[in-house]
Formats: sequence, structure tokens, C-alpha cells
Amino acid sequence: MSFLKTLKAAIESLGQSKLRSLLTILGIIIGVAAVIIVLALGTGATQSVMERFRFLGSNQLEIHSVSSSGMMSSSASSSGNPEAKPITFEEALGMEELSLVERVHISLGGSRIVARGWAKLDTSITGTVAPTTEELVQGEENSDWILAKGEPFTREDVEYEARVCVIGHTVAEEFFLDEEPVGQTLRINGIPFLVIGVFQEKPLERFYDPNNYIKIPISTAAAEFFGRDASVSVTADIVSEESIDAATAEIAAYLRERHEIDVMAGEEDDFDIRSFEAQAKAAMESARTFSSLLSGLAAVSLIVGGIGIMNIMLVSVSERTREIGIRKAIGARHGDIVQQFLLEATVLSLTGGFLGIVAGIGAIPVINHYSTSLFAAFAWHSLPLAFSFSFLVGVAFGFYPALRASQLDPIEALRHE
Amino acid sequence: MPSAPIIETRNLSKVYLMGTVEVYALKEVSLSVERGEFVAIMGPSGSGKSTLLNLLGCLDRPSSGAYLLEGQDVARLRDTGLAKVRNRRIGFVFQTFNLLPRLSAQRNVELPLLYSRDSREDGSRRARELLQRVGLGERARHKPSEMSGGEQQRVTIARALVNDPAIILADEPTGNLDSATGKEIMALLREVAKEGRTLIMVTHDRSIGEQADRIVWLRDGELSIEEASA
Repeated sequence: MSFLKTLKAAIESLGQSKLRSLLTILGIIIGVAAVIIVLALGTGATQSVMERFRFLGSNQLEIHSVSSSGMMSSSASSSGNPEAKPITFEEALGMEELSLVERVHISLGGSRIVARGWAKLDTSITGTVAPTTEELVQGEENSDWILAKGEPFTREDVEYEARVCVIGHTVAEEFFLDEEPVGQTLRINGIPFLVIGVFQEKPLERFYDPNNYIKIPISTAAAEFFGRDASVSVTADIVSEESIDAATAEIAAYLRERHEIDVMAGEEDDFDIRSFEAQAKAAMESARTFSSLLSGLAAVSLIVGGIGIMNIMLVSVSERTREIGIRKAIGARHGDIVQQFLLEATVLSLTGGFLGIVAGIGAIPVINHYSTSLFAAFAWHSLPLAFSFSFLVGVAFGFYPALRASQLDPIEALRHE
Repeated sequence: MPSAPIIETRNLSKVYLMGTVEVYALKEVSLSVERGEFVAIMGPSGSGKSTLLNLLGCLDRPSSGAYLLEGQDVARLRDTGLAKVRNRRIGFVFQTFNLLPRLSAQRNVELPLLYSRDSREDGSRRARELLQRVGLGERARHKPSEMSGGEQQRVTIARALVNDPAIILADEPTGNLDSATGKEIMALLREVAKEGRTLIMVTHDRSIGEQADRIVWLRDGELSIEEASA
């Protein structure tokens, strides 16, 4: 029996009970849509990780105290070592003296109330080191130091804990609507700071205001707000990519000395030094884990869909016992009957797969529109995957009913009412 | 010298196991049918008529004995071989027609070709010709539910002929029809038989059986009498 004729017969047969066929493949539709969406979320997660690390150099190291381990900033992290000493801003500044470290970026921050007269604003305060001349160059994409007005603070400001600040666009708008902000005074937590510059306005983000912030010298931030022994986050620029390992060792030795850790005596480091490459890798890894976990769930729904197909095919075989008997009587072979029912199951599951792909692709923009935390990007490799999955499900779960059909005794089947 | 019989059975038996008891549905039936002959198989219910017809139609295998179809022992064939014999060499006409309800008359007649040939144009033309021949040229697109019993039986006969088989097996072909329609169907079957096809028919209606060249009587699974018809 020719394949095309069998295929045509299968489609006709399924078309005769459209509602039932649709309900049968609902499981497959959902399963395949889930696969498409999960893979899109995985790809989206990977893309946002890539995005996050795109501007970070491969010649950078991030150093933090284990008491506030990982990428979390919470110092109460349960996985942290309670004995761990913080990395203070002074220790961080000291790293700049190391031979393989070109420069350190330090930040220490929190939210504080800023006031001028009666006006008040809850603003993010970040203590940092003074920018280098390269960082002040306009147009450098990753520079946080592009100013609209005034001047940034200097190394001297950092050294002398100067009460100066550079304010974000929102802060300037809030307090100095028509006035010139530079030269004015703002009170942060009641302490007066001289405004010496205004940052250029940053494009708006969806859920927070990227312009509502103030930068002050790191030393001032530690002294006035966060404490001199507060743990800071440090990023060190290394002289070259090749010296990453040597620099890691140099920084480790420096911190061990400062923290009085005797590695020879079996004491463990209370800090962690990681290259951005390693961090990006770890983030990708977790995105992948997340993806494969959800894929597992999607696979379960495909199996459930397959069982649905098997169920309906078994019903169909028993309903069509007489038809099978007639076909056998006029010369259908075992293989012809298997082919007929297997093809029906496969047409069902592939139709489900196709609709599932359509539904999954359709869901991607919806997810991106409504979800704040998820980002989905269509993954091309999910197409062949979804198709082959639904094909396999059809064949695997259609096989048993098809075999049952083919093994019917023609005489019994003809007698069947 | 007479040609070899188209059908020859030697001590054909069919045994069913009812619990631990062996029940003979058919016992040592030796029958031979000449090419072009019209034979009626008659007997009371449960006499084994249908069992014999199923064996002759290769729908079933005997428990013992031999069945030579055109000299070939088909009792030894595998399932696929039997399917091929049913498809090419035998046409079935059933009491209950056994048409596929969802297919048109045309498609029902084409059905056996699905399992034997691949050229579609050829097949659909042949099916159309046969429908015309049985007087249903205008009704090719109708489904069985839209046809009378007599019309459905005509479709069945057209389907039986589509692969040009040497043997037609009919199981109570007029059993579900009124007597006038039954007569028309019998006339059609006799006409088909005259083309040199062998026609074997199971019936319990004496007047129909008597239209055959010969009546074979079965009783309790055994061949009782063979009589030549008028």
C-alpha cells in the first residue's frame, strides 16, 4: 500500500472527528509549546548573561569577602563564614600598590535620605574611587563617569574624605529645578555635601530610575555612613590578561597578610577572587541548569501527551475493529494495518507539534511583555527538537495500538458489531 | 483430460478448544471445485458452513488437512501470503455487505487496489467501470448509508471484482435483502460466474441454493451429501 495514499487516508480519518483529534493532541501542543518556551527562556537567560558581562574585561578580577560571598551583596549570607573579616575600603585601595594591579574599582553603597530645605528624596548613595582620565572620556560605553556639568571628585578628595558629591539627573531635577546645582549643598542623612557635578541623564529603565543616585568618595562613604570596616566590593584591573593567575596570587597573598591568615597552618581564606570569565561561566552554567530542569518538566508533559494519543488510538482501534476486519479480508497485510494506524498517530502528534510550535513562538513576545524577571529569545534549535520530539512521541505511543490493530483476527473482527 | 480443480481440500478439519473439550467445527472435509463452477454450501445453523467458507477464503487456517488453491497448498502460507491470496485471487461478498461507512462507493470499490497496486488513475477508472456494470454508475460518490441494501450489495460485488479474482465467495449474499432485490443480486452473481469465475456461496435458502450447479450439504461439520442441481 502506497505511503501517500495511507497518509491521505489517515488525514481524512482524523478529519472526520476534529474535536476528538484536537483534544487528543492538546497534550502534545502544550508539551511542545513548553519546550519552545523553555528553550527560549534558556536562550534569553544566556543572552542576558552575555549582555551583563559584555563590557567587563577579561583582565579584571572581582574580590569579595566570603562573609558576603557570591554575587549577593547581603552580608548576612547564610553560606558565608562568620569568622571572615571584611575587605575594607582601605585594604581595597592598598591593592592598587600591588605590582600586577593597575587600578581598583571600589564601591560601597546604600540608600539614604537626601534633603535640601523641605525637599527630600530617597536616593542610592555609592562611595567610589575617583575616575581616571580615560573614564571621563565621552562616548566610552561602559563609563559611569560621563558628566553633564561640573567636575568629578579627585584622588585628593578620596584621600581627605571630602564631603563632595556628584548627583544623578533625577536628583538634580528634584532639588534644583531652575537653579545651577554645582556649588550648592545637599544634606545626605543630615550631613552637608557640596555638589560638584551632575551626571549625564541615562536612558530610563522599566522598573527603576537609573538617574536617582549620588556618588561620593569611597572614604567619605565609609567614614560617614557605612563604617570604616564595612565590606566593599572590589574590582581590580590587571596589567594584562596573561597575568590573571599571578595577579590572583598576589592579591591573595596581600589579603592573607592583612587578615592574618596562615594557609600553612590550614587556615582558610576568608575572601574569594574570581575572574569575570569564571563568573560569566558560572552564570551561564546556572542558566543552563535552569533550562534543563524546565526541559525535564516539558518532557513530562510530552509523555503525558503521548499517553493521550495512545489512549485515543486504542479507543479508535476498538471502535474500528470491523473496519480492520474488512480491510484484512480484502487483502490488507499486517504491515498495512500497522502503517495505517501508526501514520494516524504520527499525523496527530506532528499536527500537535506544529500547533505547539506556533503557540510557543506566539507566547514568547507575551512573556517578554508581561514578565519583569524573565526574558525569552526564540531558539532556532528548538524547532527540529520539538518536531522530532513530537514525531517520536507519535511513533512510540502509536506503535502499541497499531500493533494491536494488526493482530486482530479477521474473522473475529468481521463479526464485531 | 479434465483440468485440475481450482479448489481442492483434503481432510480439512477445524478444531476449537472449549475449555478442555475439543469441538470439531469442521471434520475431514474433502471437497473439490472445478474452475468456473457455481457451488452452494447448505446446511443448518452450526453445521460448519461459515467455518468452511472462512477456510476457503483464507481468512483462517485449518487445524489439519490440506487446502490446494490452484494446486498451491495455501494452508501453509504465512499471514502475508494469505493476505495476498485474499487480495488477488478471491473476492468476498458478505451478508452484511461490510463496506466502510465513511468512504464513498467509488472509494470502497477501490479499497482492495490499495493493497495491490499503486497506479491510482488506472484503479479509479476500473472502479468506475465496475460500478457502472453493477448499475451504480450514477451513485459512485454516495456513501453506504445513503444507499439501499441492494445497492450496497452491488457495491460489494463491484469491490469483489476489482482485482479480477478467479474465485468469488459469497456468504448469504441475499440474507439481508427482500426477495425481489435478492433475485436481482443472484442474477448479477450468476452473470459474474458465467465469465469463468468460480462462485462458492453459503446459503440456507433452498431456492437460492438450487440456482447453483451443485449443492454441498454440511451437517455437524461433516460433508453429508453432494447433489447436482438441476
